Amino acid sequence: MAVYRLTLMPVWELCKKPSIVAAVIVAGLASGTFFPDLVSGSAPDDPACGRFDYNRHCDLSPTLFLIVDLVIGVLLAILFHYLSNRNQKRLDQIIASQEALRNRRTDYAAQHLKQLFQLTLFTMSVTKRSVSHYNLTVGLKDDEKPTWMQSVTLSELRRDEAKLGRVLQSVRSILTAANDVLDPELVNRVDGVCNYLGEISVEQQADGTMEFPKYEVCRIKVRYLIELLQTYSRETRSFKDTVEEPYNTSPFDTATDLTEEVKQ
Amino acid sequence: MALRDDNERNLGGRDYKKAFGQFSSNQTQRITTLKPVEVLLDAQADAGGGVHTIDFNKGDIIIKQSGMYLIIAGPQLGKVRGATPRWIDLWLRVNNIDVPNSNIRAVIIDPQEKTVGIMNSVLPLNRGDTLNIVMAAETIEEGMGLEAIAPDGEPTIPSIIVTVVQLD
Repeated sequence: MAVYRLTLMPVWELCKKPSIVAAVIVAGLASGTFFPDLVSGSAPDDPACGRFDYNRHCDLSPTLFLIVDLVIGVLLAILFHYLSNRNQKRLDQIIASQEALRNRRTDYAAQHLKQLFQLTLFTMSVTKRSVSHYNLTVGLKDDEKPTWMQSVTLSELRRDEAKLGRVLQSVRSILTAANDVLDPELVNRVDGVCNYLGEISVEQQADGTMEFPKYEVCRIKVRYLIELLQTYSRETRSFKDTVEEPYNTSPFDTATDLTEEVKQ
Repeated sequence: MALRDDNERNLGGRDYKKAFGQFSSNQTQRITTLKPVEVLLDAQADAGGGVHTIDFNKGDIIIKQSGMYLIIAGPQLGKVRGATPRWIDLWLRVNNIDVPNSNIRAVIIDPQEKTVGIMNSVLPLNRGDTLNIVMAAETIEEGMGLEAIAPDGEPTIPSIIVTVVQLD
């Protein structure tokens, strides 16, 4: 049978425990309130005792009792102020670190979204060019190997489409990860553009040519979004939605015919 | 009031803080597939010296200013043949997503019957959002769809008139 030896904890170790210290203080306050004679001594007052005398023959005078109470009160106030201040500093540190983390996430999301939409614009242009390349092979004669050229350009086309899909998936992932730090209006706008682009796919026409449907609309939507993302400020952590273009200017008037460009 | 940028000022010197647009189509659009098809637009009213605060490209109405919008569309519905009552539905689509509670249905019995449907909706739209009007019909055999009519001595009746007004 094991024999346990209990060792007494040193008084100094007990004083380090906040619960013990708090219990002693509470006990002191309670006994001082309800049993002042017990705390301040029980000896009868000597007529020769002065106001500030305190010894075996002199009990605490009311004035000295008041002063002692005031001193205890001040000390307690300092202690509580110190504890409160220390907790407040810790809370401030936690809030500041959370805010810094939030700002970093916002900066990252805004910057990454801008890059991804620029990549989207580029990939759409490349896809459009692949469509134009494919369409050039439709009317070719047999001795010009149209089937081989079509298969090559078609594989390029599908690769570009898949890349566009991956970019949109990345955009959606960022939206999911950072939707708590981004402006809901921005999230809605990005989501709207993703919905629109996600439904677009290259279609084959009845004459065998390929078409990128609504390419100009897709381009202008992405461009509007990039314009908004470029207004992001690291100082204010916000976007500035401005309409800088003249109202009477339509973005569709300046569309470039990529097929003509490829032919040249 | 501070002067606004010249770009936001039209030739007549008026400021347009709220977007607006009136679109129409002068082409008859018959439904040739049972899948929903987008209504095409081919004209936009030039208000105030060519100010276009909303763009369009074929059937896509593209919003240039974020805000709350009132959309009113009046399609001229009809069919070519058949005496059986047939339905035709129209609704709104924003960013390729159908807008709930925007549908209307018209039932056309006779080819001589011409009906104007009324679609209206209030939607929050953002800059770059795309608005479409989509239609679908019960059958493709009877030439149902939107009809533009050119009466003698009168202006052409468009197959659809769409009005978009920014509210806030």
